Amino acid sequence: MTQLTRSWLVMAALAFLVAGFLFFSPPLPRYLWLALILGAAFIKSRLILLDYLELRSARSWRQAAVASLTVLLLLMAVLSMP
Amino acid sequence: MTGVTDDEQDGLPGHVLIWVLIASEILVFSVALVGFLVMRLLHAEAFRADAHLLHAGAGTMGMIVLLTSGYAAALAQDLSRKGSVAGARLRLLVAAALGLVFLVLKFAEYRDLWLQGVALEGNSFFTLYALITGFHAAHVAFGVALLILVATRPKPQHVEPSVAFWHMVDLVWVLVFPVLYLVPR
Repeated sequence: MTQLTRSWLVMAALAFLVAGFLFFSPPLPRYLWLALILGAAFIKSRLILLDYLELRSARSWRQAAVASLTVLLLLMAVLSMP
Repeated sequence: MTGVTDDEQDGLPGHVLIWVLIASEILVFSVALVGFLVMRLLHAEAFRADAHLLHAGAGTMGMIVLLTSGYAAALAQDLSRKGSVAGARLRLLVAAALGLVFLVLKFAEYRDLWLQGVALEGNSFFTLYALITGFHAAHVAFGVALLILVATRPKPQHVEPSVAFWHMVDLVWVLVFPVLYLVPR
């Protein structure tokens, strides 16, 4: 199985996982719900950057892109908390 | 020891201009999403009620369709580099067709909201929702046209920037979906 296929499977599985939580609505504390949805978004975005956009082998650019993504999602998490 | 393995490099893959485009688009959507979240802080109850009118299931379906479309586009890029014109063309057309499926889902969602009597005037949630998803849908429509155009002659120098644009559209939806559909709930 190629890295591309693995990444696609991981991203699809995460999308189904979030959909499952949405459908069954287990009583999660808000911070856990946010960790789940923004964590899933982080993993999917990272895989798109690394494997779809091929930054995996471009070390400095990969680090800069993932750091920017982390800052953005942390900001979103802070604004989503209350 | 630099810690850099043999297959690592420091240059950007593809043309620098496509990366300028990708970075600027991500920045624009990020600002819009942060603006949406600030407005949610100011109108939390109204945003929660409005968010329940959205079809998160359709949004999730759209996510899976776009991720699969991105996968097909990435395979097309790989095949075009290997010189497989027919294989690359087929996957580009599959990616474009899935993009069209995403647009159909999106317009079905708009129609449903319209039928529920949702109006944009005076409603911050739906005004921002329409702006962000509409702007994204316009990018999807442009990307579909680009993929179809490139599929006619799938040379690597044409396929790579088009596929990179398509992945950017994918990446934007990965960020838009949780913020618009899930956070306000």
